[in-house]
Formats: sequence, C-alpha cells, structure tokens
Amino acid sequence: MSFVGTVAVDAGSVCAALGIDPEKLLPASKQERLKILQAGMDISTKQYCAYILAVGFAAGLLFSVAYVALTILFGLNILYVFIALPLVPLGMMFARYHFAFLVRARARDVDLNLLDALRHLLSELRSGENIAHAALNVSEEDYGAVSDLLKEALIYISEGASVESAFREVSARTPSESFRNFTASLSYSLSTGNSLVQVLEKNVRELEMSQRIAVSIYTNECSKLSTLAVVLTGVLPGLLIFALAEGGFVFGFRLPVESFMLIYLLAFPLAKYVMQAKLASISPGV
Amino acid sequence: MEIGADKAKLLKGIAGRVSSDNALFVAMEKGLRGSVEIARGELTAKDWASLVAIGFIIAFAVSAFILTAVLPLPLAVFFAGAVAFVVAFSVYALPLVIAQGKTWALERELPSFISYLLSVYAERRNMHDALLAATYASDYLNLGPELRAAFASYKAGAPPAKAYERLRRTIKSRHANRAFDWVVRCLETGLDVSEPLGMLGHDASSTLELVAEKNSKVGMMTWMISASSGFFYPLFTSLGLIIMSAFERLAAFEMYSASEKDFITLVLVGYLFAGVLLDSSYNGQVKFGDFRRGVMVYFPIMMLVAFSVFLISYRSIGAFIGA
Repeated sequence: MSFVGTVAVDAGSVCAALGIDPEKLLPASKQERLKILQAGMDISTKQYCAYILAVGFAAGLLFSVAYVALTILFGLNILYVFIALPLVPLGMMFARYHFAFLVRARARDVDLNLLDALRHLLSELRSGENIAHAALNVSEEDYGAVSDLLKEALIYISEGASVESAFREVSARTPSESFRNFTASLSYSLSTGNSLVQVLEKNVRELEMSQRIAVSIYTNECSKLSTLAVVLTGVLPGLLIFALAEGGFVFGFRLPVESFMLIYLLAFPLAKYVMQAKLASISPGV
Repeated sequence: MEIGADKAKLLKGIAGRVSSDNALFVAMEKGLRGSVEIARGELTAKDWASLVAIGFIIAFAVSAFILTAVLPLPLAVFFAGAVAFVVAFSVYALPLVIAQGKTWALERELPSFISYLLSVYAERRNMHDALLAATYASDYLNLGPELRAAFASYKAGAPPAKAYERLRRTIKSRHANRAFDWVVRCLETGLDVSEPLGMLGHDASSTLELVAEKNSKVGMMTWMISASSGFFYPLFTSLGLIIMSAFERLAAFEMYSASEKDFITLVLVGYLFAGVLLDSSYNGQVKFGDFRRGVMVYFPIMMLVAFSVFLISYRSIGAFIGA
C-alpha cells in the first residue's frame, strides 16, 4: 500500500480507538467518494476522512513543536506559535489536494503505460493467444497501474464474469479516458465478433498520435511553468532578502524574523509543489 | 559512466574497513542491490553502503573543521551535517545513476540489434543461428557483453529462460525485457516471433525518437531550473546577507540581533535545501517523467553547487566589502 494509504489506515485505527467518527466531523462529498474508489488504495470513506483530519492536526502539531524548539534556540516571539491554528485547516486542504493529485497521477500512470501494454497485448494476440491469456501475460509485466487493472479484471473473469463485464467493471476504477475507450472497443469487438486485433491496432495508432500531441502540449506548458518557477521560486526568493535588507535601511522598516520562516519555508515551497503537481498531471511519460 | 578497475580496487579496500550489520546498513544494501546487479561492477552493495557511511563521516569532519572557522558553531554544525548528508547521498546515488545510464545505453542499441536478429532469422528460420550471428556480428558497447554472457550460458546448457534472465528481468528496460521474452519463447517452443519482435523494434525506435524530440525541447528548461536554485538563489541570498551586514556597519546600528541573523540564515539555507530538492525532482519530471529519478540524478550535484556558491560568495563578497 502507498504511504498515503498506510497513513489513512493508521489514522482510521486511531480514530476508532478514540471513539471518533471522522466521517461525521468531515463528511466526504460524492466526488470524493468516487476519488477514493479510483485511487486504488483499498481504503474506506471513514479512513479517508481520518487521513484528512490526521494531516491537518499533524501540520499544526509539527509546526508547534518545531517552532517551540526554534524559539528556545533563537529567542523568537512565542506568540507566532498560534499560526499552528490556521495551519490545521490549511493542512486539511493540502491533504484533499494531494489526494486528488494522487488520483490524477494514477490516471496519468494508466495513460502512460497503456500504449506499451496494448502493444504487448497486440503482439500476444497476434501470436495466437486468447484474450484472457494475453491479458494474463501483460498483467504479469510491469505496466504500473495498467497491470493492476488487468489483474483485477482477471480476478473477475476467474470468478465467472464475462471478459466484457470484467473490463467494464475495472474501467470504473480509473478516471483514465484512454482506458475507458479501450474497454469500450474491447466490449464492442467481443459482442459483435469483430477482429480484436484490428480494434487494438486502431487503439494503438490513436494512442501513438495522442502521445505525440501530448509531447507538444507538455513542452509548451513546461516552458511556461519553468519560466514561472525560475522567477517565482528561484530568483525572487534570492532578491527578496536583498530587497528586505536594503529597503529596511532606506525606508526604515523591519520585518519580524518569524515572517522569513513563513515566506521561505511555507509559501515558496508550496508554490513549487503546486507547479510540480500541475506539470506532472500533463506529463507525456516518455 | 564506469569506475575503472584500479579505482574500484582502491574503493573496495577502503569500504572493507567500515562494515556493519545494523539496520541502516542493511536497508542501504537492499536499496542498492538492484542497481549494483545491473551495473555489474567490482563493488558489491555492501561495499557501496560502507562507502556511503565513510563519505558521511569524512564530509562531516572536514566541513565541520572548515566551517567552524568561518561561521558560528550551531550554524557550522548544521551546515556540516547538511554537506555530509549531500555527500553521502551523492555516493548512494552513484550506482543508481550508473545502472540507469547503462540501461538507457542498452535501450538505444536494441532497435539495431532486433533488426539484425530479424534479418538473419528471416533468412535461416532458426533463432539459435540468428542469435549467434547477431550476438557476435556487431560490437554493441553495452548490449554486447550481456548478449555474449547470456549466449555462452545458453550454449553451456542452461535453459533459455535462465540464460537470458538478466536481459528478461534484472535489467529494468521494458523493451529489452519483452524482446528477450520473445527470443526465449522462440528458443523454447519454436514459435515464429518475427512479427511481434518486428513490432517491438519499431516501438522501441519510435519511443527513442519521441524521447529525443522531447529532450531537445525541454533541455534548456532543466538548465534554467538548475541555475535558478543552484546558482542565482544562493548568490542573491548571500549578497543580501552581506549587504545587510555592510549597512549595519555603516549605520552603526543592528537591524537584527546576532541570534536573529543566525535564524534568518538557517531559514534561507533551509529553503536552499528544500528548493534544490523540489527543483531536482521537477527536473526529473521534465526530463525522465519521474520525480524520484530526478532527485537521484540532479539533487547531489545541484546541492553541492548551491552550497559552494553560497559559502564562496558569502565569504568572498564579505571579505571584499569588509563586512
């Protein structure tokens, strides 16, 4: 299980031991429930809510402990420890954003691996294997989330479900449009008796074309975000201390030292993280 | 990137002096084992884990000795710890980088190998002969030794799956793994694999083209990002701190007390560390589509450059303006 999944399970156990119902405190929306299903972490809604609560409180608590330690070392103003209070809802917001990012990243992982997995599936079918056995061979290779989805489909098939319904079932577990298109084409081909190889060839061609387009979009977006990252989180932080030092003497203002910590250790790293999350969500994966 | 035999022998001798079975060593060994197997060097995972520890100890001792002369003690200890961590991480990342480089180089040679293999296979309809010809015909720098070792093992009587195990499983290259899966299947069952292998060769070369196209477009951006956090930020920051000291001397009053200035320096260096970490992972995402690989490849060198720029400019500008 992933780190977030483990945190969610542990936080759920702590809430249960304390007799707290996290779902009552922070009810999950319908969209969030769908995200829990698509995250592929095998966690309940209660555990998801417990994870949000845990991240929020951990942010506040960690800040308080770190700030008290720094106050002892450097003699800072202890009143700033109350910044921990707004950090609790901020931490919860971050936890929600990060979870949504993980779901998007998983969908992206499906998109990135789907082309290679379909090429493999196609070559297996061409060598004369049937679809279930070909899917088994592909699922045994390392195609990230695609291998996981294929394994799930094979479990449904082994339990007696038809190939079409098994693939339809697993396609609901990913927000990836490409995977849904593939399962739709597969179902159509199996129900109408059309050649599966031809359908897959068409799918592979479409994915190859969309990967080329994705590279173009990515490089354009990357150029924009990189320039922004260089200025906003590379040059600006360096110039800021320069401006504060000089401006302080010229205009006679004095910024409290605690504000440096908020600017440099919270605001700038957060800006970098947001840009990275945006970049990762459009990565073409080559 | 390879380590020469003489250097490897020397490093092995040094690594042999520090060895332990504690949990951290075991965890490092476990993390390094896969890369060391791919790299096929003279140093084992245990040797590398020992070198990481030695690197940390030496870097901490040397940097603490130098930094206590130029910085207040708590800051010097903090800096020395950070430098030692970066040095240890650089040593830890080295086998991973070597293994990655070897895998990429091998992938670049794969389409040419497949096309040669298929041309012989089409003519003789026999995978054994095709492999023999393709293995010894061209001198593939990275694929060649792997092919020769696997073929020799196969000729010595090992089952095909076992003989080509490294190329099918150990080396983490999706295209190479699949290609040798097909080769093994053909050797075991006599199945005609020319069509799937041909498709695979085409896929591998089109992926390489796409990677080259993307890298040519984003190469400049990774340099810009590296320069912003590894050079401009530490340069401007040290300049800012020096200007502040200079103004304080000119105005004959202290805007911030000594402990407040220490705190500001700590925060700025904290961001230097976080910024380089995030930017190296950003570079990894841009260049390889993988955050973690970016940290392994870019973080050590960017961090060492950033620390050097910060410390050198802090001391040299300070000495120049007398702050």
